[in-house]
Amino acid sequence: MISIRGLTKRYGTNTVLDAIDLDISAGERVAIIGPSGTGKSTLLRCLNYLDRPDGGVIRIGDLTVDAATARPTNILALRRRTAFVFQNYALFANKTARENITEALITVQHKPRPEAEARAEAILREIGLSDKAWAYPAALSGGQQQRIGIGRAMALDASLMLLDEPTSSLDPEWVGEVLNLMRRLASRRQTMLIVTHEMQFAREIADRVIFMDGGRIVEQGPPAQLFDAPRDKRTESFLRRVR
Amino acid sequence: MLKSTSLAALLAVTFAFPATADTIRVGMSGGYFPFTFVRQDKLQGFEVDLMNALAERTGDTVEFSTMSFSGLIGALEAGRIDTIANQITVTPDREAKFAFSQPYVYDGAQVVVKLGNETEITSVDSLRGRIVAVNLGSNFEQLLRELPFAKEIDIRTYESNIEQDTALGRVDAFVMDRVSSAQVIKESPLPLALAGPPFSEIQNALPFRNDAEGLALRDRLDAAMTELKADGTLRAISEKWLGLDVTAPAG
Amino acid sequence: MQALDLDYMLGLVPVILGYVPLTIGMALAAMAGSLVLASLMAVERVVRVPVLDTFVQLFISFFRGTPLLVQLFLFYYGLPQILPVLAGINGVTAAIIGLTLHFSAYMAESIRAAILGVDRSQWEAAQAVGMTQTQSMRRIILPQAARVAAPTLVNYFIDMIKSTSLAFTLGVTEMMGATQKEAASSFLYFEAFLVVAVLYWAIVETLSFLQKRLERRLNKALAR
Repeated sequence: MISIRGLTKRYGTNTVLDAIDLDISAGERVAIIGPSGTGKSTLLRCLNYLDRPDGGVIRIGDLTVDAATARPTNILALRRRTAFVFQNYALFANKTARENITEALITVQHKPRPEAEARAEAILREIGLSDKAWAYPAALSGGQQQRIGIGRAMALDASLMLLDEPTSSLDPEWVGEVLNLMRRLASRRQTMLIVTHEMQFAREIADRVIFMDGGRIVEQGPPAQLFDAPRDKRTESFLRRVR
Repeated sequence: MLKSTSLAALLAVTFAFPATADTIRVGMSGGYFPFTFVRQDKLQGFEVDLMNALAERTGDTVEFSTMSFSGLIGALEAGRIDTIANQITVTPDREAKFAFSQPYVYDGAQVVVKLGNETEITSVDSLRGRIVAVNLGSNFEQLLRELPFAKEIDIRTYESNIEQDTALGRVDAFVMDRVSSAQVIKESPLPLALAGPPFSEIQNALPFRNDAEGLALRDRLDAAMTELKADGTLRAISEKWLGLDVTAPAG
Repeated sequence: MQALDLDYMLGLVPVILGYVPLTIGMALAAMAGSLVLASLMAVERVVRVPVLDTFVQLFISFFRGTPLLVQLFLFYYGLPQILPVLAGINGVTAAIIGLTLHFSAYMAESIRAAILGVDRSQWEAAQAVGMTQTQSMRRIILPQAARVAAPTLVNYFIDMIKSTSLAFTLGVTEMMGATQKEAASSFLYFEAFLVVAVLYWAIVETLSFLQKRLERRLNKALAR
């Protein structure tokens, strides 16, 4: 359903993504792990063209975007099929929690306001923040903000949800509640691609774990296999370092 | 919507078409005591009374427009006003450009100094080597520049308040018309004095644009002026504001 | 030393007060125009439309680089010489246009700085949900930039009010023009100019007070 071919990104002479090939099936939950600065986040950001890839073709369902010919309309279409969760939450600072969720529904998806608000209310209930509907991000804790961030992504009903180190910026006390929410999403078989350092969590919810290093996919496989019996030396030494 | 309505209103006011023959737009400085001045927000003076009297005779309406003196000539040329009632002296340069009515004030140029200095500065000649203030664009500025020893005078042109600067001693003297100078000395608290006799006779009249409309207006007002002179109205206005009759040549 | 004529001063207050509506009216009209023009220029300077960008940069450079008085004279006394149709514009309109052009150049830079100061993640989040650049600007970026720029913009408004005093060189009788005329007939210069100074001061102080209240309200939304 989602296929990536030859995805490449360079910064000057530095190749951050080296012709990545990747397939993701509908409902598949994929975790990406690896050392810092090896292109994991860049991969995610290239998938919705937050960073523009230098080469490669991205296919989501019937939509194909080729870096060589990508135009603003293609990029918009791509972004409307994906939902992104940021490491630093990136909630709209001038909108309330509720408005953060309804904003794209109304402005981008052109849903009528009552429908958008009903959806937002349902999501707020599900993420346990109904009482914070009228709060502005500045008044919320990191964990609450990230849950809203995930709620915002949920509302979009996107084909692919991209989560870029969603718990890395959180104080330890808030990590649990965010992981819980992600667990619930995973259990609903939301197609997701998560970059994370939470190995336990990855082992628990992922169908497949990918280990990236030096801009390449070094190895990938079911969590049990990758964590317990890594085939590549680099995977092995990385796992040893983070244990 | 409010924005477009107010924009429309603004444009309407801005581009108001030139007044019909019934409304005469008169330019004056509003800062030339006692000819045209403002007190407690009321525009008044010799020129105001004169224009109102003329308009009464011709059946027109007068619309006064105040602006800086130096802008009056430009405004007349540009068609923003129809005439200037601000003691405009008839000079050859101005006659070449505009059509004048008959003169209604006969005056002279006068040197005015700070009280006490009139023993030192006794005439125009004494201005050699001195700093003299004049109103920007006035004929007095022209008069000074035409003097043979003009190069020896430091002529300073002002937009306004030459009386104050002279009273303060920032300049040695100012040159203006004798009649209003006398009134200023009489009515104001400023320590000023007339220095020497008036030099250079001047005649003041109403200027008009040299086109068909301007000439027609000039003729109409000129006829009314003759009436005002004949029946003594003009003299009465002169005596009211200046304490003497300046509307006829001396002697 | 001469004693101050207090009676004259008191008598002058209601006269000058009568011109306050015109002063504030001109400033408000110019402010409305400036906000629109400045916002457009600021967004353009951020987005950078080719060719147009050069013109906008020139505009901003010129109107920030020349004195307001010079600009007013150029527009009111100079331009009609080559474009006679412009002679139909009266002093008030010319003053408003002049103030608008002048201050929009400054405000454009403030708004631009405020836009650039909005955290990059706000842009990214807006784009990630699929908003176009225009939508991102309108819904997310500009409202936040406005909050940041508001205090500076109010300062410019206060500046504008004081700058309306130059309108009297265009023949407009506003607060300063009326005062100048009164002084020219009473010759009580100190009293007259002191009165108008105090009145300007009162207006500015009132606005500063309102500005502080506005700031407090805007910050409530972002308060912890």
